Amino acid sequence: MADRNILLVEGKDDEHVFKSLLMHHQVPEVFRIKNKDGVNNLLETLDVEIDRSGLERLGIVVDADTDLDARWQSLHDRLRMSGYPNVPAVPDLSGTIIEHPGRPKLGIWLMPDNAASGMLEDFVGYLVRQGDLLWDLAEVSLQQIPEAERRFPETHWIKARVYTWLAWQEEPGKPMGQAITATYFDANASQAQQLITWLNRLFDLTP
Amino acid sequence: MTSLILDSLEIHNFRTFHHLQIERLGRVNLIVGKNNVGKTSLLEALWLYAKQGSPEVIRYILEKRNEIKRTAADERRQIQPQFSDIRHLFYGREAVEMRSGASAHIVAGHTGLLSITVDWFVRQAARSQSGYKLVPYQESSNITSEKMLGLEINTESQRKDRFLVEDIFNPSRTHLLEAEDAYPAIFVPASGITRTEVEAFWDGIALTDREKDVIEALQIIAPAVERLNLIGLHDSQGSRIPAVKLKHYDGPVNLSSLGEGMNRMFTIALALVNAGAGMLLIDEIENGLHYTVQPDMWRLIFAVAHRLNVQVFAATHSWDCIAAFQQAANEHAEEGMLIRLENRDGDSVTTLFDERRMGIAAREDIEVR
Repeated sequence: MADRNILLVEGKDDEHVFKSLLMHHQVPEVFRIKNKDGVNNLLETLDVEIDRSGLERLGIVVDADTDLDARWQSLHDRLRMSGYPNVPAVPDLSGTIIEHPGRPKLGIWLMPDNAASGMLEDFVGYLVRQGDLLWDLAEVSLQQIPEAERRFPETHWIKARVYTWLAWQEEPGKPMGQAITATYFDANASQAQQLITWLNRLFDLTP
Repeated sequence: MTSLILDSLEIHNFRTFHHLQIERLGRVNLIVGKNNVGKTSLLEALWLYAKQGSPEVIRYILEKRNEIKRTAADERRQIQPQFSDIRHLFYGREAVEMRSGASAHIVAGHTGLLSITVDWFVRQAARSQSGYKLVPYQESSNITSEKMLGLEINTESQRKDRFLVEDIFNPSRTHLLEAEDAYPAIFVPASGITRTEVEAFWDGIALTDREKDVIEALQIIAPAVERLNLIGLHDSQGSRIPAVKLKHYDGPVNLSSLGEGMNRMFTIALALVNAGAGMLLIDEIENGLHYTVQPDMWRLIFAVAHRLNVQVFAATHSWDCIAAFQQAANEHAEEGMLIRLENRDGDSVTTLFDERRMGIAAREDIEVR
């Protein structure tokens, strides 16, 4: 049986975060999540994924990283080459959906929120409950690291913060997906709701 | 890379196709798709183009699908049955009306063109030679002449040929109808080729180096094959059948006794080496071939097609066959093209996979069929 609906994600962490959120929100399993092992591979193989036999709907989840405009432009150009002349100039804040006759329906979500630069961990950070003391303490701790001793690049600050925070939970070191299932994170946070709404629209599900 | 006969293709109004476009073709092309999407029709269009609208090819492709229903001589002369049969060439078949006529066009590259139009003609006596020429009924001044159904064939060389449908359908006349300037092109149907063709193809390469290619093809399945020849059956027609010499057996062994796969491999290789500087068209190429021998078969096809400048078009719906093709294509830069044919809401749509895209599909486990 051909895969009719697929969600492409950058890596294992994305895959597990999505699986936990989908389970929590009881989204029916009508699509397959495919881990593309990195954003470069995802982009370089995208034209072939779109032409998969029998494909009807394809979701694409990538990190905006440091330059959201550049990331969007590279998706924009690739999708035009794949027969979508109607890719909007800027991403839709609620998650982009593109339909074109004779082509699979496309959905694009730029982590964290289709507007800010950043990555999966920024999105997961949104799911920390308001006023969480440890979340603030994690930030304070990171700031206390002398510049010369900091081993991670500045761009991974949020990663360090999320993993620091995860280290201080009931069961330290749970991966992000499991931490959602264990309700350390709030899967009902508004950003999570928005993501689920986008998925429902893309895969034509009634919530 | 030597230039290809066809680097792109467009078909209008021919059989299954209202409109079909293939923007890029390779040297070795594998056409894949579900049943009834027009894989065979595509091969037929290519063959007809290569043979520049040959009446023999037209009769063959209609007969092969049992679309010429009237065989008795008196029925063959009647217009209505002729029309019912000939319209199978055109898109829409049953919807094609007798009074309106229909045209099919096959456009190859920037300059290649073949168009076939069914129309009404009258015979006009030719002054210089024996026989007659056909004039369109509309242009004819002599309206008492019998109105007859015919095909007008136009080609890129601006040659204009007209044939009566009753002549096209008459096997004893078809071969007299002329078709010129054609590319060499061999069509291998799913069921294989006739004994007569086998004999003619063998005679075309006997005692040349191309024999080696055919033997090498057989060795993919049976490494013990050392030599190959056609030997007499001593029947009334004097037919000859293929036989091989095996390593540890001193005497001829009928090829057919070595299994269905051997016959298929022999047919494909023999047709390939006879299609030099032309086209080879193979329907359901994997027929009878075990999946384990298919990668080597494709390797051989790629190598020989390159050397003899053959452009190959094969059709399949077998997953194993596609996988084998992908393997071999990845070893031959810029030669292979996988062409998926599908029907989307009544439109024929093609999706192309060159080596880069085939490689990605294989690596990322993406279904291309």
